[in-house]
Amino acid sequence: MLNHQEFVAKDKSLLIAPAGYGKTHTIAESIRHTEGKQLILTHTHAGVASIKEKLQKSGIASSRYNIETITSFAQKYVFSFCNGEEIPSQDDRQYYPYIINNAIKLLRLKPITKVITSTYNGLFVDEYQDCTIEHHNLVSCLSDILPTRLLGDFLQGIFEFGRESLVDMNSTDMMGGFFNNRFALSEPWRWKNGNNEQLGNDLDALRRKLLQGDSIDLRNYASIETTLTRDLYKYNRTQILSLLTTEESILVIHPESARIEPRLNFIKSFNNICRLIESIDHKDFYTLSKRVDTISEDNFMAVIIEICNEVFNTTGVNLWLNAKGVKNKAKPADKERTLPLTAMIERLKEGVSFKLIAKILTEIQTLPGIKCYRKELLSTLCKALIEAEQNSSTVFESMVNKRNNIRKVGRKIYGKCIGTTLLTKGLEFDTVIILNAHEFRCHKNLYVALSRACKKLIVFSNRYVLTPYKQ
Amino acid sequence: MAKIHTLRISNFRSIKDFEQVFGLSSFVCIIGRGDSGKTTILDAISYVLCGNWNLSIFDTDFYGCNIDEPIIIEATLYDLPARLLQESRFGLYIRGIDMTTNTIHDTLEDSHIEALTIRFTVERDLEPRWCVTNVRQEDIEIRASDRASLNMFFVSDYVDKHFSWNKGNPLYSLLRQEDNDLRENGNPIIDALRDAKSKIDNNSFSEFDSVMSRIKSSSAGFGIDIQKANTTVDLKDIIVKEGKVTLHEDSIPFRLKGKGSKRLISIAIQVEVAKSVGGILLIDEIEQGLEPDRAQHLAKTLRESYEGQVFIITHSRDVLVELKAENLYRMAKDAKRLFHFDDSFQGVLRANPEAFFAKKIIVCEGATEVGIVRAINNHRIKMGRTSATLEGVKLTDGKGSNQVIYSDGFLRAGFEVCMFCDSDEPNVNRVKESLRSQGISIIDCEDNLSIEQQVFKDLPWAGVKQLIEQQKHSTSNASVEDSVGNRYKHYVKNGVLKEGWADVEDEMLRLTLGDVAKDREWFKSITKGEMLGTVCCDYFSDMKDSRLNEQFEKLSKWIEHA
Repeated sequence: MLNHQEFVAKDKSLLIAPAGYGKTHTIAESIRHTEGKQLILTHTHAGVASIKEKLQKSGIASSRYNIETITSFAQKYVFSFCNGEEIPSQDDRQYYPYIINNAIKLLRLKPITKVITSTYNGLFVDEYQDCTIEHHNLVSCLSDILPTRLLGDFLQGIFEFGRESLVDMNSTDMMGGFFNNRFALSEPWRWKNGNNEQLGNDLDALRRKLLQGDSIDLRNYASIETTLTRDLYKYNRTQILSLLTTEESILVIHPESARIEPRLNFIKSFNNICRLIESIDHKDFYTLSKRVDTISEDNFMAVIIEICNEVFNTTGVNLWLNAKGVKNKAKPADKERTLPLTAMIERLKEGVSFKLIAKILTEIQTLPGIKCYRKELLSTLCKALIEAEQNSSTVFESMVNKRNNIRKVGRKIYGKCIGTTLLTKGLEFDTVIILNAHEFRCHKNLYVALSRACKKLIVFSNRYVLTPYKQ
Repeated sequence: MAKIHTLRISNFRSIKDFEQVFGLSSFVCIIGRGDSGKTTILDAISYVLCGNWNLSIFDTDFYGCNIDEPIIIEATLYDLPARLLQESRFGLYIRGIDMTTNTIHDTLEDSHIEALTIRFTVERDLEPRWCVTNVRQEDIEIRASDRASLNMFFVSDYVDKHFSWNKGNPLYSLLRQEDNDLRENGNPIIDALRDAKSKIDNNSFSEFDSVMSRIKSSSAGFGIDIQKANTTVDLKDIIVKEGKVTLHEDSIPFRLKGKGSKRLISIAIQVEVAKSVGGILLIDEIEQGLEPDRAQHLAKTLRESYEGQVFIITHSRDVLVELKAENLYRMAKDAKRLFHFDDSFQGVLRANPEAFFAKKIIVCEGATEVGIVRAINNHRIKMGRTSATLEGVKLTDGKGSNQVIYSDGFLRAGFEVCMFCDSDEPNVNRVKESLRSQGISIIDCEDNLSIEQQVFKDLPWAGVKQLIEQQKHSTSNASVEDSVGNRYKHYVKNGVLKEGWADVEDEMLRLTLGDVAKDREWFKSITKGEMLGTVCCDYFSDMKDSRLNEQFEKLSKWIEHA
C-alpha cells in the first residue's frame, strides 16, 4: 500500500501509476494529507473531468484544488501577462510551443512566483509520461516553488512519430530530484471487483516482462485468448464477426498507425460494424473542407462525388450517382426514391449553398446500398458546412474550429470501435481484439494495447513469442 | 498589509489632476497651507481603499462640481495580502514596480516587486465603482471584503464606533486574530446577551400583575386567550445590537471621553491590528485635541514603530521637529504633485519648523532682521494693510551664513523665498547673483554695510536720537557714551562726551553709531530688532530715496505680492 502521507511530504516525488491501478483515487487520498489549495495538472479535458468527478465523489471540497490542463494553465498566464498581439493565432503551428515557452519564462519571474505561492500549496501532475520536454520544463519551474508530485507510467508514454519528443520518466538526468523519491502503485484494481482478476494479474506480470525488455510468450497467460493465424480475413472471419455482433463494448486495435487504410479495410471486410476512431488532426478533415471551399455552379457534382468516394463505399456511390448528377433509374421505385435528391441537385445549379450540400450528403447516406465508412468525417463535414454558411466563413475555418473544440472538450468514445494505440490511450473497453500483435515494434505500444481490456482480451498473431522492441 | 506606492487623483474635490509617487516611504507627513488639498488627499486614499460596500458621493465631490468628468482615484499598492495575490482573485492582474526608477510596469521582470492598481471611479450617476486595473487586461471589480483586507483605517472625528465590538471594527479584527475558532466557540458577546435575557426572563415583574390581569380578562372577552402572557425583553433588540457592547471606564462609555484621548485610544487599537497584518493608517491633523508633547510623542511612536504605512497631516511645529525631513511632503494649491523634502532639509527643519507651513518665506540673516520685518508687519496692520499671516508669509532666522543654504532649500521646496540680509559678509555677497537668478528676491544693504550701519546712515536724525535714547534706556547712559566716545574722539572732552553730542546731525556720528551698534550688538535680538524696525517705520515717510526706505518698501511689497 502506498503511504500517502510520505508521498506528499516530500518536496519532489514521483508515483509510478499504471492504468487501472487506482491513480485517480490516489490523488484524492493524497490531497487529504495536504494543506491549502493544490494545483492539479493533466493533459486532456477528459482527464480534467474524470479527476474532478472522482474528487467530488470523495467529498473533497472544491476550494482545496484547481484542476486544469497544462495548456490551459499556461494559456491563463500567457494571456494575462504577454502582449496579445504577439501571441500566434490558435490554428498556427507555433501556437502551443509559444504558449508553453512563454509560460515558462513568466513562471520564472519573482512577482509571478509570488502569485503561485499565494494561491497554491502544492502541485500534482497526472499522466506525466505524456508530457513533452516543454511541459516537463514548465513543471520543473513550478517544482522550484511548490511541493510537486508527479504521477504517470513510463510504459504508456507513446507518441506520434514526428511530433515533439516526450519526457523520459526513466532518465535520472531529466527527472532529477524526483528520481530519488519514487513510489509505485501495485494493485491492478480495475480488473478486480467482478471484472477479470486473472487478466489483471497477467497484465501485471506482462508489464514486468516488458519493463525488463524480455520477450513474451503469450502461452504463459491463460486469461489472454491467443489465436495464431496467417490471415485473419481468411481463417478467422466467423470468430471475429461473432465477437463484433455479440459484444456491446468492444475495441479493435491495429498496430499500423501511420496509415488509415488497414483499419478501413477491416471495417469494410467486417460488414461496417465498427466505427473508425478518427485522429483529431487527420488530414482528410482539412483537405475535404478545402475542396468544398472551391465549389461552384460548374464543378459541384465533381466535388460531391469526390467526397462520396472518400466516405461511402464505391459500389454504393456508383449505383446512384454519375458525373452529371443522379443516375436515371429504370425502376419506378428507385426513381421515386431519388426525387428529393434530384430536386436538391437542381437547386444547386441556381446557386451554391453549403447548407444544401450538407443536406445532399445526408440524403445520399440514406440511399439503399450506401455504406458510410467514415461517419465521424461525414458528420463533422456536414456540421462545418452548415456553420460556414451561418458564419459566412470558409468550410476550412469552421472545420479547424470544430476540431479544436473537440481537442479542448474531448469526446466520448464507446461501443464498437477500431483504432490504434495512440487513439485509444486512456480508454477502457470490456473486450479488446488486438490484430497482428507480432507487428508491434515498441513495447510501450503493445502494453497500451493489452491494458485497454477490462474483461476479455483476444490477440491475433502469427507467433506466440513477441519481441516488441526496436531493432 | 499593503502600502501605497503611487496615488493618482483626478476631478476629486479641490484636486483636478494629481499624481504622487510615495515609493517605499512608510511614513508620510503632508504639510501645506489651509485649503491646499491635504485632506482631499487623505479622503481620496480612504475612498479608493474603502472597505465598505458603498459610499455616498455628491455632486460637490466633483472638481468644480463638474459631473461631466468622472472622479478617478487610483492607488498602486505593494506588500499585498496573499489573499489578493491569488490566481482566482487578482494574481493575474499584478503589475511590477521597478525599485531603481520607482516606475510601474505592465510587462513584468524578475527584479520587479508585485503591485496592484485599484481604481475608484464615479460617473455622473454618483455610483462608486472599484476595480483592479492594468493596461494588459479589462478591469475587474474588487469587492468590499477584498478591499477590507488592505486594512485601511482613517482616524477621523467620528471614532466612537472604534470602541465597539461590532464586526468590521478593529476590536473585532483583533479578536479574530487571537481566536480563529471564534465561530466554533460561539460569540462571547451574544452568549453574554443571552444570559442577560434569561435573567430578565426569570424576573416575575410582579409590579405589573394587576395591569396584566385586566388585559387578560379584557382579551378573553373578545375571544382571544392570552393567559400565558408575561413580560420580558425582545431578543431581537439585544442580539442585533451587539455593537452596543463597547469599551467603558467605570461604567462611563469611551465615547464620552475627550476628543484627543478618543483619537489616541483609537490609534492604539489600530496599531495593535497592524502589528500582525500591517495596514494603512490615515490621520488628519494628528495634533488635534492633544497637548504639544502628546502630539509629539504620538508622531514619534508612529514613525518609529508602526508596522504598516502612515499618512498624517499636521500643522504643528512640535510634530515636525519629531520627524525627519524625508518624511515630509508639501502640498500646494493646484499642485500636480507633492514636494518631497530630502535629507538636506534636516537642518532647516530643526531650526525653523514653522517655516514649513508657510507659502512664502523671508529668510532673515539674524534675529535683528526678523525683528525688523515683524515691525514692518505691525506697521502694515496699523495702516490697514494685509498681515504676513494672511499672506502666508513666515519669517525665519537664517543664523548668519546658513541663510544661503536655507534659502536655496526652501526655493527648491517650492516656496517663494526672499532673503533679507546685510552686505558686509563677502561669502554671502559672492553668491547673491546666482541666488537672484534662481528666483530668490534679495533685499540687502548698500555695499559692505550691515543693517545697523544702513539704519544709522539713512534714518532721519530725530529717529537716530530716539534709538540712542532707547539704547541708553535699555543699558545705561554711561555704557552708550563710553562706546561712542571710544570711537568718536572728536566729541570727547576730558574723557567724556560733550553735553548734547547727539543733538546735531552729523555724518561722522552716523558712521560711528552704525559701527558701534553693529559691534556692541545693540539690536541683536528679535525684540530689539522689532524696536529698531518700529522706529524706522515711524520715520518711513521722511527717508525717501534712501536704501533703507527702499528695503522697507521692498519688504512690505514682497509680503503683499511676491
